[in-house]
Amino acid sequence: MDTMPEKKRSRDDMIDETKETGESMDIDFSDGGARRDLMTLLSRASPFGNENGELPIGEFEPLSKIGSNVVASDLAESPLSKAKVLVVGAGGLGCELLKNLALSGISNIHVIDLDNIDITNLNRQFLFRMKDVGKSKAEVAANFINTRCPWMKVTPYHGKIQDKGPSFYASFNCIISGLDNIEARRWLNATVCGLVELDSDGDPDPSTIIPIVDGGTEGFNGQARIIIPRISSCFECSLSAFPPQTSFPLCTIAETPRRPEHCIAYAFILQWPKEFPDKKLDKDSPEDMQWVYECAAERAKKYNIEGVTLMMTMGVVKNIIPAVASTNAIVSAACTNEVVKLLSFCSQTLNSYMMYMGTQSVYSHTFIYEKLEACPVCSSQVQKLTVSKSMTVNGLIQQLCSGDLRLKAPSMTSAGGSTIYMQKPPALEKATRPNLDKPLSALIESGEELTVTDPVLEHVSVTVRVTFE
Amino acid sequence: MSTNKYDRQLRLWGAKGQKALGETTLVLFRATAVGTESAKNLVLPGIGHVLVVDDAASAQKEYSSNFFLVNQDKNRAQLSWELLQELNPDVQGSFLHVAEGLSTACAKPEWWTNLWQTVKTPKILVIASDLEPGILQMVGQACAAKGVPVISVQAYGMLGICRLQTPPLPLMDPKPANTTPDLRLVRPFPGLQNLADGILWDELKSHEHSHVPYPLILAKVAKEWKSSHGGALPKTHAEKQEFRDAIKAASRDIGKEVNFEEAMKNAYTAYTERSLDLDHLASLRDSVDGLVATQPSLKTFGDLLHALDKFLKEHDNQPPLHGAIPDMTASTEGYVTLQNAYRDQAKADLAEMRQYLSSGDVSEEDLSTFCHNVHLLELYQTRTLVDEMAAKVTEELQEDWMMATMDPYEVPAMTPFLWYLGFRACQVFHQEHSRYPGVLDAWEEDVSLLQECVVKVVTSLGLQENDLVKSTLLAADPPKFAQELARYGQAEIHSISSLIGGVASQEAVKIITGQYVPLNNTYVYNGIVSVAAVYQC
Ligand SMILES: [Zn+2]
Repeated sequence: MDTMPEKKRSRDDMIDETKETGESMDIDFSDGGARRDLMTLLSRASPFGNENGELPIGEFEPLSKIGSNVVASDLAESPLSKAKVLVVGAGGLGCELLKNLALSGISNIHVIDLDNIDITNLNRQFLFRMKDVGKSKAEVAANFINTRCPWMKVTPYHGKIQDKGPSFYASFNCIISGLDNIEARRWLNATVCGLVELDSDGDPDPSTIIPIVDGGTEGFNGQARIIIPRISSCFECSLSAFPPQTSFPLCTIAETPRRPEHCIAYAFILQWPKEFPDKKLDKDSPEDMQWVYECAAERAKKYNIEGVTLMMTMGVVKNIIPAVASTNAIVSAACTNEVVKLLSFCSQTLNSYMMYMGTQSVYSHTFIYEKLEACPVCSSQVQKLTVSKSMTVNGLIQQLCSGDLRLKAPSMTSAGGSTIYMQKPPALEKATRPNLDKPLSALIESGEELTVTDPVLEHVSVTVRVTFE
Repeated sequence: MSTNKYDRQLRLWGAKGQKALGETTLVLFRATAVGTESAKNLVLPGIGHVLVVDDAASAQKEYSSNFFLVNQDKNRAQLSWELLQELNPDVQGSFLHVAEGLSTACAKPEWWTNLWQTVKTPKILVIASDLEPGILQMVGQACAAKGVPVISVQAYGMLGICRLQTPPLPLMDPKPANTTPDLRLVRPFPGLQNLADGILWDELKSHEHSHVPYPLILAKVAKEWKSSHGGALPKTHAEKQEFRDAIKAASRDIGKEVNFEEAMKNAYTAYTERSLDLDHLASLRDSVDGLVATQPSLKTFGDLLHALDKFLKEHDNQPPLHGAIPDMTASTEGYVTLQNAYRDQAKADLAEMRQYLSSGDVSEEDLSTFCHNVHLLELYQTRTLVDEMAAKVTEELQEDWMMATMDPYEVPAMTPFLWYLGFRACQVFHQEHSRYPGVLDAWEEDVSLLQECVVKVVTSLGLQENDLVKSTLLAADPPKFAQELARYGQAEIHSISSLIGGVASQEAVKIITGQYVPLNNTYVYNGIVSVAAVYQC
């Protein structure tokens, strides 16, 4: 609190003052001022408490201390103020989430983000100003909230989510993710689902379940969902709803370009490595992007293809997804609303997925996203795979990457404990490399189980039973 | 390099939309959280001006649920504008503290005249935040008279409501997620037919053969089909099968020629024409003609509709060509040539449309946007807030509501429409008691009074015999809806305010830019279980 500007009061000061001024301040209804707030809901019984909903998490017990004049400082007494919540991502959703949590009395927050502030964030990431461009998103956002809302204690971490281990994630009551990419969401989901401990019957220990509230947006559309690991469906259960990005066929790019996008792909996929074999394209460098644009424009001119612009070049190379303040607000608010309910039980839980589509009127759809029966992350099911007898270890790796599991760099050991292939450390990789070209059938029996690990699902292992045709 | 801070939104609404945004003043009635959140999402993308109109002398008790208030001794209009302003230096703005109170001020015609005079931009949009029913009616009336769109936003406990009232708006740029390309294969234009006729199958090398764009394959096969079928295209299922067989027969190896595969897949475009709904266009013309005298902003739309009518008469009801084609298997040259043929025809159609316009004021951009969307043109009209609050019921509305109650949410009591009725009951309670239910400590005493209002609202809308309404809202033992609504005591829950602020600002952008399709006319968010829906109210 030492760093707070003097004119702003700390939360504790506010509590003291209200205690002194007594209980029955008049509410002035005439000027639209002095509204009741969340504390009113927390202190009054409801026929629609959490326990009466479709996805009950806990029983709502109204706080009893409340007198007539409910003010924000009373939120200090609520279960919300005692919770510790993690916000993953301090971007478009993250800025909104931090504000929403602050104004919901959830004061103990950690926020984690790898990115620095870019000028194109400023149309929606409202905790950042022009002077902040280039600085850490997590740090600037945390500082802004702590200053504006003196009762808040936001702790930033500028780094990757993978820098933190399971014990870090286990220390929160709830995790909200406002991530913009599939891979990070898969990693977070797997890590948090992996925290759940099962008893001898395979039932989850409730005290090890940490809910994730996940949001995402694209243009005017977005979604918010609840993941109660092992109880409701998880992110991995719905992976097929997020298809991998498709790219243009190489022969089209190289030989028969037709659209401006083909010329841009030619420039950055084929020509850049040819021209600069030792330099990786820096998508954030104006010079590099200018080169790609000019190269694409030249090719387009040669083939009489119209429409290559710098803006389109940026869009294709960086795979830019349009983003606006309004949609971030909608999705983040829906996520925060769920966090408030998950922590206080003051109302019912979203079951379990809400979609918002805003372009043609508003289409809103709330539905149960079903669990995937053999989810590699949140079920204890064995993945069954039938392959030909001649399939090599390398072939299996390719299949695990391109198939439904969508792994990135799998390592595997057999049930018998022998190592089939390990991606790292380098010494082990080198030692197991000769196995890559061997047929799998020379290493394991048909029907044998493999334990597969992969960086995208770092803290869980997937059991794959391989049967030969 | 993209040094443009608006890059991510320009990809949605373009420079034209951005310009419209910059030419608009947002007039915010009351800076409650739902209002400042709505304003935030319009200041960030660069709305031109903001004018905050408020009558709250102090905001000291509210900064816990409103991000644009802090603990300072200033009136709410000033304080909120000062904090909103920090979001974007491009946005101009001011504030108006209404010391006499909005309920007094809004009743005076001269107050409104003065207010409108302070706005300097060509366009105005009003956001009315958490207004009590009496003031909301006055604001709705004044905005309707001025032809200004107003978005009423309410954060009421776990309920959120966003209600649009606008003057009639032309929708000519709806940007649907999926569009079907207009290939004109049923009645090919000369440029297209010439290209198809120029192809001689036997003279093509195998590489060329497998790169003939599929529209040309279809145009060729269709021409041959017509010449052997007395000028008719395939009609029956069997004929359509035969037609596909003819495509297959034209291929040298259907398994290897992807372009022929594409032709098979799109065979229907050769014999199915997307017809224009002429009755719809005629009724649009009639509506616009009837309104244009009082709504001069509809002039361009009316002019375009009449030009389209002339064009259709000249062209046997074929509209101007869009001109865009999808990507397809083709050589570069073949594709570019085909694309140019479509583009040239589209340009010629556009030039012809221009001749039919009675006014020279229509911009090239408006003309081409209109022509690109001839199948999707609409006139957007909303019911007035005054009619809603007077419980004026029409047959159309009752049908809508019937549909809404016949398709309840999985847990019927959570259907947002029921909660809309509950909110209306709270408004009626306010009209009768000059305060919302549950704002006093003895909140439970309001439950039975509120339940009386529920019955009144339901009856006034003719819904008292509706099964869903009967089994939920009207169930009196215990009256769960009234209990829950009294519990809220009009509490301002930030997540609800923020969500509705998001919806309102998204709708505001649609109205201001004339792009996409605004909701008609009420979005109801049930925050108890996060279920939402749109109703005509
Ligand atoms: Zn799962």
